[in-house]
Amino acid sequence: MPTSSWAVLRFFAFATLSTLWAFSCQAGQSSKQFTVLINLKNNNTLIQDRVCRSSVKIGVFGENVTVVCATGVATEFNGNSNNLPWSPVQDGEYRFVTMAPKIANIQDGNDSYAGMGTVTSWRLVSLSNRDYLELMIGW
Amino acid sequence: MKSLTTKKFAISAIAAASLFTAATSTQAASVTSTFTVGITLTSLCSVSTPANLTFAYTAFQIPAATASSPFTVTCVNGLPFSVAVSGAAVTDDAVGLAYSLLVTPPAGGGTGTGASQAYSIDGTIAGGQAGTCTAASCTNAAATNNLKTITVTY
Repeated sequence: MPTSSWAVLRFFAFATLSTLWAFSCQAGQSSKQFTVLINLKNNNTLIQDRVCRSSVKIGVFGENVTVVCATGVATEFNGNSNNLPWSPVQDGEYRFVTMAPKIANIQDGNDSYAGMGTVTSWRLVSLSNRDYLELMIGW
Repeated sequence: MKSLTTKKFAISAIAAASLFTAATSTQAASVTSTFTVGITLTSLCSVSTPANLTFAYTAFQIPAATASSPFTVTCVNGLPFSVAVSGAAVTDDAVGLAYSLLVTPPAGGGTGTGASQAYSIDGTIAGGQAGTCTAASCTNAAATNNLKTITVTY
């Protein structure tokens, strides 16, 4: 047999033995099982310190704005005639600030009867020459 | 009479000498044989059962939720092994949250020491996920892909 044929045979024999040795060395397995448990809570609680966008613009009194949501994030504002920049922010929460003349005797507060998608809290930011009415809206 | 006594003495002496000679010849030789103690050690690794990995997640939460569950691997001295976990990156089919599982130290491998070696499964649910839940809270008890297997290969 030519030398090259012997070399090929030796190569395949070595490869076969190496493969068998590798399999024999990794033949053992030991396993155990466990379960991944998840408790998912719906996020009905709004957190004011996570607001990242705001706007200061005069809107239209009594205007109805419909917010279109997808998987918890607002994607569209319909009926927003003044194009108030209520851009989607984190946690499904939005902040809208409108300038107001000096208003006396308005208390900060929360509307405990408001449902999801409505104004849920507000506050009056009082500066030296003007006031801002801040609305916190969440879905 | 005297002759008889002398004969008895002579016989006794000869008998005693014969016994002594026989005894001496019995203890003079020894025979030895050798044998080998053969031991076949079957390499083995064992893994302890990890506790269930439990997450608490609030929809759209900003930080990732993490959970960890320790377990141990025990292998014979010098035996190389690797550790892997099944379903390491999936989306739970009950609550719709994607999570990842990681074996720590890295599953790349280890070497048996004869003693138990500490490992852990570290799970992460990335923040900002909505999940699927039609009530105030839901569990993934009905999930079909939440049963995982930790496997040690050696």
